[in-house]
Amino acid sequence: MKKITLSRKEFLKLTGVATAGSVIGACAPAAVPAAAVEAPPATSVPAATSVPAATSAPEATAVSPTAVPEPVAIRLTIPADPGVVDPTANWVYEVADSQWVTLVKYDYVKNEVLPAGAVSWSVSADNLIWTFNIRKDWKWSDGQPVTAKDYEYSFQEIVNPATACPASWRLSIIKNADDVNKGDKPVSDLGVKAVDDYTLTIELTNPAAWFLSSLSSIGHAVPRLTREKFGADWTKPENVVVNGPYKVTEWIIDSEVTLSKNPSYYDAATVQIDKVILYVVTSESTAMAMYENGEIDTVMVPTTDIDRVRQVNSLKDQFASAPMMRVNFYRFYVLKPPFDDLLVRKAFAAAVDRDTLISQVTRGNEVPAYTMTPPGCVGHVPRSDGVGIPFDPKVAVQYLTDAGYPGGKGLPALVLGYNASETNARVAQAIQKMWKDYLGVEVTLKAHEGAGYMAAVQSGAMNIVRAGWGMDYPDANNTYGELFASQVSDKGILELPELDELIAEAAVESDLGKRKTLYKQIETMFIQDNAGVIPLYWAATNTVTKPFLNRPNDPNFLMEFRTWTVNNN
Amino acid sequence: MKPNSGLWRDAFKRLAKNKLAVSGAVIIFFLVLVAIMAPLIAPRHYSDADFAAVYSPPGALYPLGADFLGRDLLSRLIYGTRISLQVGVLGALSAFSIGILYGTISGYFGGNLDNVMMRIVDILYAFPDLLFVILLMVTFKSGYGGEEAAKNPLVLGLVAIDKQLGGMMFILIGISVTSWVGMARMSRGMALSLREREFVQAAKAQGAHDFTIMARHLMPNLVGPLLVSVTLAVPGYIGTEAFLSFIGLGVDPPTPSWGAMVADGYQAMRSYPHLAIFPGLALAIVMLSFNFLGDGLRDALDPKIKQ
Amino acid sequence: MIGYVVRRMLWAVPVCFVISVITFGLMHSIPGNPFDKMDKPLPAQVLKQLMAHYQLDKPVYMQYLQYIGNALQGNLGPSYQYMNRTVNEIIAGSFPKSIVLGIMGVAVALIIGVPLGIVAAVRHNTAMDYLSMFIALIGVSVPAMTMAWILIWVFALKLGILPVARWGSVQQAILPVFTLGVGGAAILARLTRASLLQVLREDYIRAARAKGVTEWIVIVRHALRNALIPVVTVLGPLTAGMLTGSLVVERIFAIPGLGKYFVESVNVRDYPVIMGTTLLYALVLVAANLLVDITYYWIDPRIKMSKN
Repeated sequence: MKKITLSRKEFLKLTGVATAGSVIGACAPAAVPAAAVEAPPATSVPAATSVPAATSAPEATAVSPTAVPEPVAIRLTIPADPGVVDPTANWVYEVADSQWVTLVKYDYVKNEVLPAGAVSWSVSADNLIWTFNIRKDWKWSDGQPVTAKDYEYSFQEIVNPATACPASWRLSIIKNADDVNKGDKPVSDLGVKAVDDYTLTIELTNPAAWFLSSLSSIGHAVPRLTREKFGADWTKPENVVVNGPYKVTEWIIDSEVTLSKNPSYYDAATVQIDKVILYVVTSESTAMAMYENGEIDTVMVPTTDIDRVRQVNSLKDQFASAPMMRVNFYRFYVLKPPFDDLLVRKAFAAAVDRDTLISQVTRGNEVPAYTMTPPGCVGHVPRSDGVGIPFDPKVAVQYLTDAGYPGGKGLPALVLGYNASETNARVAQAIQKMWKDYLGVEVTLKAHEGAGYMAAVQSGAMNIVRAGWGMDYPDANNTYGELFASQVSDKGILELPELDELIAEAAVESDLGKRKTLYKQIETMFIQDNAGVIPLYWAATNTVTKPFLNRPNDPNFLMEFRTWTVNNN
Repeated sequence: MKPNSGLWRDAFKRLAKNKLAVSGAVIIFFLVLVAIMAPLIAPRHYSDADFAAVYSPPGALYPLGADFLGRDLLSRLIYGTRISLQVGVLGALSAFSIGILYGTISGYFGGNLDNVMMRIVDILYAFPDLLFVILLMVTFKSGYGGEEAAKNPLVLGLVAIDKQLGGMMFILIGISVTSWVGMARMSRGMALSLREREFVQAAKAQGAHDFTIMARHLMPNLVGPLLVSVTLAVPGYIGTEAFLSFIGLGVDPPTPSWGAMVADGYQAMRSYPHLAIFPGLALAIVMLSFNFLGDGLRDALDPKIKQ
Repeated sequence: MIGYVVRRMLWAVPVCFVISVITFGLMHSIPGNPFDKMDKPLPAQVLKQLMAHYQLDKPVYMQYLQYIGNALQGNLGPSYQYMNRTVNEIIAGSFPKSIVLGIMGVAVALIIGVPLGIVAAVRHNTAMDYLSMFIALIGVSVPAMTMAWILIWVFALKLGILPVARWGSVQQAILPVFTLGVGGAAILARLTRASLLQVLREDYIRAARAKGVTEWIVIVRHALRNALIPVVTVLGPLTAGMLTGSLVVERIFAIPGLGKYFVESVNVRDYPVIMGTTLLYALVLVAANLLVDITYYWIDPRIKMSKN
């Protein structure tokens, strides 16, 4: 039986409201939601009941105001050990994103930038200098105040060649960033300056309308002293200092990571999940089985199980699907025949039946994509605008005939490449069949495993390759400016000078309406008129979650635990 | 002196009495027939995809159900016989031939040649063949270094053959490279003991060439035990191919190999069990058949068994 | 005997050397580098920095010499994929779990397989024999990945008495160890049975029986010793088989062992980890084979050692 100590004042206040029942409630020992019990044994959750919340939230839901609530702990899986979580040294995933905070955050529903580390900001008249006012009264977990100097240090470290951060190119719009990164200039020359303790300025080389939203996923403030003191070990649970909603309190490599709520986070009051336990489980079917066995509280549903989950009574109410800012597409290698010919490209693009692909092959509730930039991002073109090459087999056959290959005859041997994964294999086989059925063309498939894939793609050995692009930030500049513009695009991607001009213009244009129009023109030019790539679909997150837990699924595929809530009905 | 042909006749008689071995042999024979006649007996081609039938359970149209692309499982199993048998038999043949030659030469000549040859074998034996196979498969499948290598005629030739075989050739190479070692060791051991026997000494005294002795006197005596060994090793090769498919280094899709089908299907076991059960059964049956046959051969060739 | 052991152990040195050369060479012949992520190829300058940082821009033989030099001093290098960990740390962290899993697997194989085979041989051609062999056959023909899922489905999902995955408690160890060991148990059962049957037909056994020795003593004191020789011989390859099996088992049951590094490192071109795991497994196999040979010699002194 728990002992609750109340101060005299609280007791007097509460006796007016509480009844004997609430005292009993306060003393009830096991009366806590199953969520709060860390890693319960498997037997306790009967899978058969379909009444929401009944299985896991017994009488403790009537937790009286006098009781100190039990810490809410949830368990889930991640596919691999987090590795290097220093946000200035590596790509950022959940463990890093939960511990340190960027200058701003992004609201995908309203498409607006929200304050995070910075409470307000402004840009100079020439759109080159951004000024951020850093939040005051915000402390690191070791008690030191978080200041603009921390942000200055963090940006410097990202471009610092000594850190060798693979994401450093994200900041190349900042003045001197590239020179610093190459080692030609000292780190202090970077155009990020802490004017005073709570004001940060960032100077760009060119105006960039997308810059603000891109800061929602890069530029996390890291603690300089801790980092310098411990070196690479600074992120270990015994050393780490954080300013975000969570802090790593336990880390067993390859096995599990525990994130505990950080009380010094400025918004700690809104964080409902006190503890997040991440188990490292590579196989998604194993993770699914663990969920069904009650060993974890939420999981991504593997494609093979989606149909079953949607039919089984005990699971279908727990299922949720939400689109992700991730586009899957096929790229043409245009430097050699036959895809140097626009008509041939159009033919192949028009012979892809996305609806069938999604409903019967991928079956993951994906959204068919006829343009590149996913929904939720600035520059996304709604389907209703009709941009893109629709599925039309007759037109496809006509294109091919017009190109000089009637019925598909005369085409050289074609290879379709993809990086090995179950889904990619399926999609490739399905599309291979579509091209055979609708165009009469036989394409050979080639699977590559992981690391060698990029090299193989650039070598031009394959005519069409599968590609995926997860948006780094919710703006079309991430797809066009950083993927398809000629200066940065991979070898083999279609290059169009007029497109480059439009992309450059859209990058600096500050009027939102004009930007959207420009991106519509860009998508029309690149995809519809010139068939540079074939967008296939935007991915979706398909999850099942235990009824006591609310898991909002952002298009941003990072899980943000601070936004997850618990049902107290 | 040739090995007693009576030995073989007796062995055959004994084998024929062993019901399990006979059933194994019959099944293998049946599978070989299926493999040869696959295009004639399969209801559909193995890559015929019907998207409306994706994941269908066994029924009238699809007797064993359909897979994730709507392809008929029965047809894929039938065609898959070819792959499994090719991997098993060709792997076994190459292991057998290389092994018996290598081991006999080493054991017969003895001395320094034997030392060197066996050291090489020891080193290869210690090599984790799994990793070697993985490294090989990754090398083969990863595009051979881009443009320069892609122009190399040898590479191009190998790639073309591989494509013809549906991605199987490199698996065969991978398996063969690592599997002859055991056979070599065994042959060498037996050659060592046999060369001291009278019939060999007699042949030598008569002035026979070394190679003649090896070919006519030693190797035929080795065939029996090696045959047993090889037959029993076939399930291992088939299993290796399944394992490679499990980690993604198996045949290229859409080539149907039972191992790949099991590897694909095991994840769907909870939702669509037919995808894992039928290929699993097929694999089990073929492995069992070779095991039974191998056991039977061993018993049949064992001179101590009194029947 | 001691001389034999010492000589075999010394042989491990050139063996590992050759293995290291072959692996290193093959590794570097594969195109690709450890740093490109799948969707986003690194900008050339970042790539150059990273390659120089890890000295991957030097000629292959120089890299090899550097690697060997470090390795001989006990430093197996950093991991390219897990950039804040060294290979030594990775191995130290995950190898023990694989070893435990493997040893337990071999133990299960021995504890279940050998007695099953003995019983089957002694009760030759009875129901017991057929039952044991039937069980053994299932073990041989059902691959680990299928067996794992059947066990998970029965014991975790349907009966709910065991957890699905992960490693740490006794309950979590049951399913993976059993999955791993069952294949080996089947092999050992069949082998023990065949071998014991063969030995029981020998003349000296008939002689012992004729002298009136009780059957049980005949089996245990006279027959088993010789019957177990092939079993011992096969322990070497069996251990190797455990290594293969553990890759599958570790993945399905989410066990943080060395297996996943083994395969994954090749895929992501993490050269030091590839080298480290290969050499480690090679050493394990060499050691296992050496143990087997020593046991072989000890059991049957009639075996002559090789004449060099």
